[in-house]
Amino acid sequence: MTSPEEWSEMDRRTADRLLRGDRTGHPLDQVLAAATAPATARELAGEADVMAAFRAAAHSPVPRRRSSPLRAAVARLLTLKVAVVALGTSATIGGVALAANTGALPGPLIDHTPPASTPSSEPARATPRQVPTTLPQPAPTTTTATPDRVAQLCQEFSLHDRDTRTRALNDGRFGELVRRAGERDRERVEQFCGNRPRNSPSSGFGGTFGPRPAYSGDHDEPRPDDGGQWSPKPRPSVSVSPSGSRRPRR
Amino acid sequence: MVAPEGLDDVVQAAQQGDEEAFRLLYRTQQPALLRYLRVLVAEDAEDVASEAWLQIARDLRTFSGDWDGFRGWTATIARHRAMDLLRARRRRPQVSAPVEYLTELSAGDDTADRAMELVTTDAALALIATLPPEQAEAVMLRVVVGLDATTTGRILGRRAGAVRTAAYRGLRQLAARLPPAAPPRPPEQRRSSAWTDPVTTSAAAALKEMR
Repeated sequence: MTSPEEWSEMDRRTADRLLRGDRTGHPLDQVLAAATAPATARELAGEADVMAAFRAAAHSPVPRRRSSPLRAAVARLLTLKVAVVALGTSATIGGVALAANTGALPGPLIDHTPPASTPSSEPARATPRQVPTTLPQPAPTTTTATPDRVAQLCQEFSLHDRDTRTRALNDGRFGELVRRAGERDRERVEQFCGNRPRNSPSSGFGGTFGPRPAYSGDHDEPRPDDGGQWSPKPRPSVSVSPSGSRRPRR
Repeated sequence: MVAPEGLDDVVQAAQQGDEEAFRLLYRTQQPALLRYLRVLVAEDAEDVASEAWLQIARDLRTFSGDWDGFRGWTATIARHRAMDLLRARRRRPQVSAPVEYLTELSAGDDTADRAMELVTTDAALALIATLPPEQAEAVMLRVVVGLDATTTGRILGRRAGAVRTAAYRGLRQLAARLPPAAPPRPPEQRRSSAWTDPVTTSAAAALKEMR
């Protein structure tokens, strides 16, 4: 092997120049020049993917700090909260439905039930035994996402804090919401939920997913405001010809 | 191409979400990162580079610094992803493959002279990959990624002086491992043979044996 003694001052100078990228006349010139040659098309083949990732990151509200345990805990708590609220919502709907059917609560829900052909059946239906026959009624509607269901999804969605909403939309649970909003995009969905007329029974909870002002805290969102830079502009064709000046000097 | 000073602004624009700015950063920096990664993880370099760029795209807004800083930052990310992979693999990539590549290259040509004229990026990286890891990394980060000794030291967790020594040794090893080529121009040959004299003989013998 080589010992420091063999490394003469002259060689060190040559090495320094090689490291700087100078042409020294040494055969290594060619090796280092080849190692720093301009990019090939193949080396830039991943550009589209990387640009997509950049776009996605630009549209996410806040740069994510990596795997903060606190965030994870908060997310878990939120999930729990959503579950509790969902439970409460369904319980209330059931209660309302029951009350409506007993005639104690005249309201929009009455319209859902087919007009009773025989008034005499009313007392019979009001018996507890009959309740199961009335309960399945909402069932088919949950699969086709009635306003109730959508309102509930909106509500769940609004319970996510801003940072986790985009991610939440990837959850299949919000699939219907995304479909209705037209796009898997946080703002689209927020807008969709915010604009929904709140006339369904469950909208009593709706305060949390009200119109955008409720959570349009755009001040904390470092989105680029420069519309000029963001307006769709024609992309230059991907000409793969970075010049040789890529090699940085110092 | 944009001058390095201009790239400071490009970094800033990209941080503010300018797509074309980021595209330029990618095109400028990706080749260096990819080549560095090829020396570290060989055939997995493309995958690791992709991972690194996803992270770069995601975390760019948390980065603060200029173009020089960006180069160091991205190299750090690339290295971390590579180390993840190496930990998973539990071994360094074998260096035998690149050597075979080199001998193949020189064997394919009539004269060593010709081989040297045809040094490709692949061959150059393969040659550098035959160095001991710390030397290979020092050479790649300094020459190809273009970082100074201090920044390179930060990335490698070593002092700048150690990085300088590793880079010097690496270059000398490289010279010793070059195929015994007659450089294109006679004056260069004279100088270079003096430069590599102590070690060239053994390397030439080794390469001949392989052929």
